[in-house]
This record gives sequence, C-alpha cells and structure tokens, in this order.
Amino acid sequence: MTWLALQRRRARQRSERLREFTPSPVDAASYRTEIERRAGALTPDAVDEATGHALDRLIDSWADQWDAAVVREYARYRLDQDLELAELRARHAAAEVLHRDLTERATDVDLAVQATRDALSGGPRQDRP
Amino acid sequence: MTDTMRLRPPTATAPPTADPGLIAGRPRSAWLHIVVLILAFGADAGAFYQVIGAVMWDQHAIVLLIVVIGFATTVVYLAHMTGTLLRDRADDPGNRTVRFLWGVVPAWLLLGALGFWVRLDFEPPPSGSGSILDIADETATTPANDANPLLGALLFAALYIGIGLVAALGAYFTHHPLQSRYATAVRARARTARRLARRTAHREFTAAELEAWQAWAARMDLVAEEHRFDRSRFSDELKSLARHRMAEASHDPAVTDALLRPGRDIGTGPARIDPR
Repeated sequence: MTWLALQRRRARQRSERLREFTPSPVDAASYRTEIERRAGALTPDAVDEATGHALDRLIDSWADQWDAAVVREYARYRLDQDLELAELRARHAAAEVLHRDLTERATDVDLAVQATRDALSGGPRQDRP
Repeated sequence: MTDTMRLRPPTATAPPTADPGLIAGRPRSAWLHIVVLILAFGADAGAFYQVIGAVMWDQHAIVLLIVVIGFATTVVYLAHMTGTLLRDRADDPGNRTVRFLWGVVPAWLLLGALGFWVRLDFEPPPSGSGSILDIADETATTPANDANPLLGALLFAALYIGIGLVAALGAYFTHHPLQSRYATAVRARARTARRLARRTAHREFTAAELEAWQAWAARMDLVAEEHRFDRSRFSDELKSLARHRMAEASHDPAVTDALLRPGRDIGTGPARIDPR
C-alpha cells in the first residue's frame, strides 16, 4: 500500500465518523392533540377579543424547552466535531512544519549543487540570452 | 532547465581541477576501474585466504572469512588511497593531505611483506586436520606450490603488487574530488525532491481534509439553526391552532376577527446559536 493510499484510507475511516446533526424529535401529533384538548376545554364564553392568547404562554414555554434541547444537543455534537477538527489542525500544522523544513533543506541542496557545479565548470553558470 | 543554460569555459582563474565535462557524469573508464577493483578485491581475498589460512587454520570458517575480507579490504583501500592522495597532490600542489602517504604506503608494504613471509615460511595445515583448507588443498594448492614455497610466495607478491598498482592507478586517473562532491550534491537533490514531493502531497492532503471538515462543521451550524427555526414555527402553528379552536367555539365574528389576524406576527423565533 502506497503512502498516499494509506492517507486516503485514514481519511475515509475518519469520514465514516461524520454524522449529520439530528436533535431528538418533537412529537408534533401529541402536542397538537394537547392543544386541541385544552382549547376545547375552554367554555365558549371564556374567550373574548382581548383573551385570545390564553394558551400562548404555555406554547412559549414548550418552544423554549424544545429550543434549549436543540442547543444542548448541538453543543454535545460540536464537542465531537471540534475534537476531530483539533486533530486535523494538529496534523496539518505538523505537515506544514515538516514541509517547511524540507523546503529549506531543498534550498540548501540547490545551493550545494550550484556551488559544486560552478567549481567543477570553472566559473558560474550563465543563462542563454 | 539545462537546455536553456550554457557553461562558461574554464578561465585562466579557474582552479586546476575544473573539468566541465565531468558535469555530465563519470567517464566509462571510471566504471571500468570499479569493475577491475571488485575483481582485484576478489583476487586479493583469494591470496590472503592462503596466507591467513596457513596461520589460523584451527579457527572457525566464519572467523577466517571475516579476517580474510578485512585484510583484503584494508590493502585494496590503502592502495586506492595512495592513488587518491597522489592525484590530489597533482591537482593542487598546496594540498597537505599528501603527507598521509607516509602512513599509507608503509602500511601497505608491511602487510604485503607479512603475507610474503607467511607464504614463504608457514606450512599449510596437515591434511585431514579438519581445517577449512582441506578442501582448498584438494582444489587450489598445486604440487608445485607444495614443493617450492618460494614460488608460492613470489606468486603472492606479484599478485599483491599488481592489485595494488591497479587500485592506485585506477584511483589516480578516475579520482576527482569536485566531481565526487557534485555527484553527491546532485544525488542529495534528487532524494530531497522525492521527499519534498511526498511532503507536499501530505500537506495538501491534510489541508484539504481540514477544509472539508470545517465546511461540514459550518453546514451543521446552519442545520442546528434550521432545527431551532422549525421548532419556533411549530410553536406558531400551535398558537394558530389554539386560536382557530377558540374562534370556532365562540361563534362570534368579532371574536374571530380579533383572534385570527392577518400576517405572521406570532412569535419572534429563537436567538442564533453561537458555536464558539
């Protein structure tokens, strides 16, 4: 197995750990039924033009709980993602350092080739006009 | 790149060892020298096999082999160094490394004299003694050698001096310090280029993978926002459902009109998630 193939295999194994964020579902049917039940339980004269928001605070509290659940579950999800990202950043930083080191080495070796070639040829090389 | 370049011919100020032709590589004679040197090394090993075997005949075969190879390598290298030092001196009269010849040449002569003396004075081990030389006795040792030790010793000396001359002359005519340094630098550059290619691929691969994961994380931020927005819309739906049910129960157009207002003004939605 070549080195690049090994890299690809590791990347594939890592990508298998990718999963889309899916929060715990809200049982919409049961909430609708509950609203139907509570709205039906009110007497026809209990609501007038000014009291149409009788169930709003209850629904808002439910919405806040659903929202808090999403935020909480996403924070847990992002922790795993951030750990993967941290590992990838570390690997990339290490690769950058090694690459930079080898680039400098290549520059030195180029200098050595040029110097030894000049010495062997008896003078510096000139570009063809 | 070399097609677009040309070499300046050696000038009067160029060092005496300058030889632009060697940039293209070693001449074929250099490879011939290497082949001859390998063959000479084999012949030297054979000559020393007889010499060392006569003294260390009771040693294990592996020990004998190591000593023979060590001796042969030493004498060939000494002869080679003699030629190299003389060539350095010829190229550069100010070169002071030539003084090592005072150690190299006597050492080479001493080893040859030692071999000559052993061939002359030491008898081969008795046949059937279990020596590794028993086989050699049957195949390599001639009756003439057994009868006349001087002849065997002279043969050894001739071989020794001949191989020494081959190694020394070959080194003298093929050695070129600048060409060696240039060849070393070119090999190092080729090796570094291969390593740099692999390192560059590695760096690009890690960068691309990191970028893909960052894009995925950004997309998941949006997905989380969408989920929150969906739940906010569902709460609006529930409020709308409650108003409908209450309006239906009241059977009063004024109440219905007040409860079911046009537009989407129910609820404000959640604040955005800040993943940082």
